[in-house]
Amino acid sequence: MSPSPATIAAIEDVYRRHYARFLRVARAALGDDLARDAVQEAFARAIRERLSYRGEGPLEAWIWRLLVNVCADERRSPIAPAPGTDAVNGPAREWPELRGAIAALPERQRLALFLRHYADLDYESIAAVLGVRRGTVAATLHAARESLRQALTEVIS
Amino acid sequence: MNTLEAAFDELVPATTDFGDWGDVLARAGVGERPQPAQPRRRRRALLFLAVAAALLAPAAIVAAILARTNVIFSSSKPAPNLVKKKFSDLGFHSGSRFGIEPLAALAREVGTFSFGGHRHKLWVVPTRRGGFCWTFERSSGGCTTAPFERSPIGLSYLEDLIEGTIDTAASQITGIVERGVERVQVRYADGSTSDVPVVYVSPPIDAGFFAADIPARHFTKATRATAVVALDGGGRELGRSTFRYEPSAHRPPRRPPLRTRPATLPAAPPAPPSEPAQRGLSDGFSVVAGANGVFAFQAQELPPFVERLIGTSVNYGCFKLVREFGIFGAKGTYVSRKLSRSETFEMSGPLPHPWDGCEIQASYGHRWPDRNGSHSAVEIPLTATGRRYFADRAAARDLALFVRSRSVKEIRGRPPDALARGLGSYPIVRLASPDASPPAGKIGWAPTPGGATFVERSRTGRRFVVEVRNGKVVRTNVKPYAFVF
Repeated sequence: MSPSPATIAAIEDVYRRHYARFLRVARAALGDDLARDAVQEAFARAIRERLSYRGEGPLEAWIWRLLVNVCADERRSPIAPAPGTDAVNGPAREWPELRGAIAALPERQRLALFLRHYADLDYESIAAVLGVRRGTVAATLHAARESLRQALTEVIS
Repeated sequence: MNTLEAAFDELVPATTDFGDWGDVLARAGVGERPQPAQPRRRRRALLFLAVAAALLAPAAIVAAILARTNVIFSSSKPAPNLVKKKFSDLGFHSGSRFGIEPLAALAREVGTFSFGGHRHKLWVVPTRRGGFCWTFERSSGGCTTAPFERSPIGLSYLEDLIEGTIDTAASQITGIVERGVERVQVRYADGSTSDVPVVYVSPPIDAGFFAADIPARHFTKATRATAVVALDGGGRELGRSTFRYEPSAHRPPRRPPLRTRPATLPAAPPAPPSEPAQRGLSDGFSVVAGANGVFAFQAQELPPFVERLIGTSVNYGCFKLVREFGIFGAKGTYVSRKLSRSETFEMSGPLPHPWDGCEIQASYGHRWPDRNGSHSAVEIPLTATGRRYFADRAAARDLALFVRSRSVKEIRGRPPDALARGLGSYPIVRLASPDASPPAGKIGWAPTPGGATFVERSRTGRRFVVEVRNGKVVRTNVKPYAFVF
């Protein structure tokens, strides 16, 4: 059986059902100013490149990967926010230590945390998005949480 | 709640934003790309709702000139109640952001188009502010909003891979045209053209609609469609939309991101619920439902089952039970958040109080029998009607969940004796006849020709039924409380 490309309707369905989650991850990764644009661009890429989707995993995971790539492109851009400034923002400016600690995490740990916490993805899905094994996701998340706990014990406990 | 998770939530709060699909389509080059220099035109394009998926079985398009069909809106056949209800729901759920507000009761059936291997009725409805919405049966649709400044043509299209290549070609088109457009013509790379049927609908719609498949012979790179052109009665071009094809393996250069001012996020909590407010308390949560459509949930003494859900993703919702166009259902707003001890949200669309109930729905793996008796994690009735609704819905959900569970589906199509043996292993009761009722809270079943009839009675006395024949559901009354298949 030949793999089937994604349809625009299927991509739209993911967008309509999960837009808020995609936006939340993008806001965590890029900040408010760039997040909406990143999500729109990720879904536009999904439509443009839908014929290259081979059905080897859930469509949603494929689009998550596109968003991760868009965020990575944005962060490489000279106008992207510097880690620890707006990369993780929100109304809680009273968490500068946490924002700093998150920004100090390795990229994979940070993305795994965002996908787990803000997108509510399970380990399998995160593995598919990041292109790693499930066990690697578990280890990555554990390491990230430990790093944050160590950095923030006196702040949030 | 884990303090780290709580801090994460505060850093990037969840939102109920629903995005802008029209902008995605435009960025992807599907349909008409908005022109940044023409903001009013762009806004209209953004409101063209999405293209539906369809398997394509190209139908012949008459190559000769096709005169448009003119339809008088006011004398057209009224749309079915289900369509009116969908238009009404569209207006409610789009909220105040777009201000679409379809006048659903006025919806009309104005034509039938053949595409995608099927015939599709076209329904249209005027909106309160002078625009209109349309929907092709089982396919795409959209809305324009006032002030609506028409451009000659608005196009949506599907494209597919040309067999054996990495190139694509348009395979199906739908769209709208302004009143002066008499013909819509597709132009092809080989120089040929073909007209597609246009239906013009008189005011208050005052626009034309078209939809068609692109013939199979135009599914090569040398013959594929290149543009759709709007013509007046004299053949003069009034406007056109061109197709932009990108070979599938070719990644187009990354478009510089639009540096637009971000939309306002609902970061600040809404105003408090206003009086006269309704108040309810159940399952460990209280709710104040304001006359202004603001709902404030507050945890009291949580039962262990709910306590364990703190920090997990849930849906908060409040609703009013309505019968619109003869169709009964719960109309309201649901927002996705992490369950916390207090939460406030606002109704997304215009709906007058009083409300009938509020609830918190959790996703914890629904299996039959459901550990929470097929009730939501938190159900707070605000009226007697709401209380009955929750009771009836639980019974309907329980019955539907049982009948559609994997293990029951496996035995539903078995011969009578094998079916009876299979059902004997479940804690359900056998009824003397399909018209009998089991005790409240129990599922009963009785053999019927080719299968069985399953019955459950709600605490309100309402009786729910699912009849299965040859493994398929042939009769049920669990809608709109539950789904069974």
